[in-house]
Amino acid sequence: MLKHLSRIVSAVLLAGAVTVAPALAADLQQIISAGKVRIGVPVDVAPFGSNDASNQPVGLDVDMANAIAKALGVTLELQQITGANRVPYLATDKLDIVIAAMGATPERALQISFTSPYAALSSGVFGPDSIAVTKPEELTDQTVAVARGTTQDLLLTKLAPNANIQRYDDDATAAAAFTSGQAQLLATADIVAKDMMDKNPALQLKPKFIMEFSPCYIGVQQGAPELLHWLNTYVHLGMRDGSLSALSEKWIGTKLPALPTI
Amino acid sequence: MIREFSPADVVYMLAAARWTVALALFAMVGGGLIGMLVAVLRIVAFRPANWVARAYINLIQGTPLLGQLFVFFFGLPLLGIQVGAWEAAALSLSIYASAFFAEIWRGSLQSVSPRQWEAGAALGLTYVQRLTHVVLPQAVRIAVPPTVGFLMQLVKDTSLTALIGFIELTRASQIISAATFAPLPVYGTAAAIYFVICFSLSRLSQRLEKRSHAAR
Repeated sequence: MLKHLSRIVSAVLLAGAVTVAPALAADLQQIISAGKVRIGVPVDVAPFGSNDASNQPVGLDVDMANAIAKALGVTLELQQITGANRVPYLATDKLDIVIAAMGATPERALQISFTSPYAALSSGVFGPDSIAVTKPEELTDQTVAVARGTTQDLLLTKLAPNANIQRYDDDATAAAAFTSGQAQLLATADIVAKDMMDKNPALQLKPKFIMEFSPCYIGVQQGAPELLHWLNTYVHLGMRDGSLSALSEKWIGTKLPALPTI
Repeated sequence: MIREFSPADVVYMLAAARWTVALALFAMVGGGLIGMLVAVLRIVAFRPANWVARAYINLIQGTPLLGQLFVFFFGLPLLGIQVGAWEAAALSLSIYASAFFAEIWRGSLQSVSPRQWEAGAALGLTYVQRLTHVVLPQAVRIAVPPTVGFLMQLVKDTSLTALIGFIELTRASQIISAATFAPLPVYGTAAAIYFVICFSLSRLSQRLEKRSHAAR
């Protein structure tokens, strides 16, 4: 049934790709015969991807990219991407796959295809004890710092339309806005809040409310149905044998719950 | 997960700053060559050439550099031309610089008094002699401060290429800031590096001005 459905989805995607895809996507067979796969990962979204002390990219997404290239039996060509260019990179055939803690939206799905989720992060609003907020509706005059364009930003904008949201370039600058007192609350992933408190015990980043457990999806070019299907199979098997959950435990610190598939 | 901002990171930023300098140098040379051509087209005694040059300058000066960068980086592949981040960055910065250089140099040439041309003619010099021996030396002296001023601007404008993922000083700082959660020291260091580059340029400008005694 699932296979059947994904065939139909693939066929529809392929039909769409013929008319809209600007560049011809490299499908599974081309990638295998070329012997290399081009995967984009973030280097500014810890714990999904960041540079370690010797400035090598590390993180959940980097591990995922390595595992996928290994399973495909091809060499990995790792490319650093930013939040702003990850979708255009796929759409203009600069990459085959993007693994970048990416949330799926209907708008993004018009340009690229998403696999089933391979990881998830818990997003919430954090702050000191002195601020008594327990749900999004109670956010009124407090300023909340958030990294713009992220899942947290989209969620917060939807859940708390009256909140005074300050958007920053990335998590690090949003966090700095909170620590410097420019914002009273910080919307981020729970793992980031925990890490910040571990590093600076004086900081009060208590969870005010959890917005959502947001799944992350792998993005591929449209017009590569076999690659999309292969990745879905890979994610499906990784869910079943627990390897994706182990990856999540290694980087995010929690086991991966059952996630809905695409 | 969050690590300390270490001396190794400063080394990484300095290594990335080489690309900032390389990009600015490339744009200076490339933009200078195109700019010279446009400046000549702008003042040559042939109306259609003036119009083309003026339209080019208006188009480039009137659109944001970021937009031009995106057109080259994401637009060209749609036409089937593959460009990397470096090619797109070098090309768009050169074109951007050329429009400003053209206007700076046109202004400098035209600010030399017409009487200098007349005086040259009175001495029996040919057009080329008047241009190379009388007008150009004076125009160059006038052009040095605004040219160097624009170059400093160009050095800082290279930071926009971080948005297409080109790893120069600003992009390197973003990456380190994201890993260390210490934006203030990281961007402070980046600012200091930009200052050193621009300050060197400004000193160079002063020396160049002192060296040319054309106006006296």
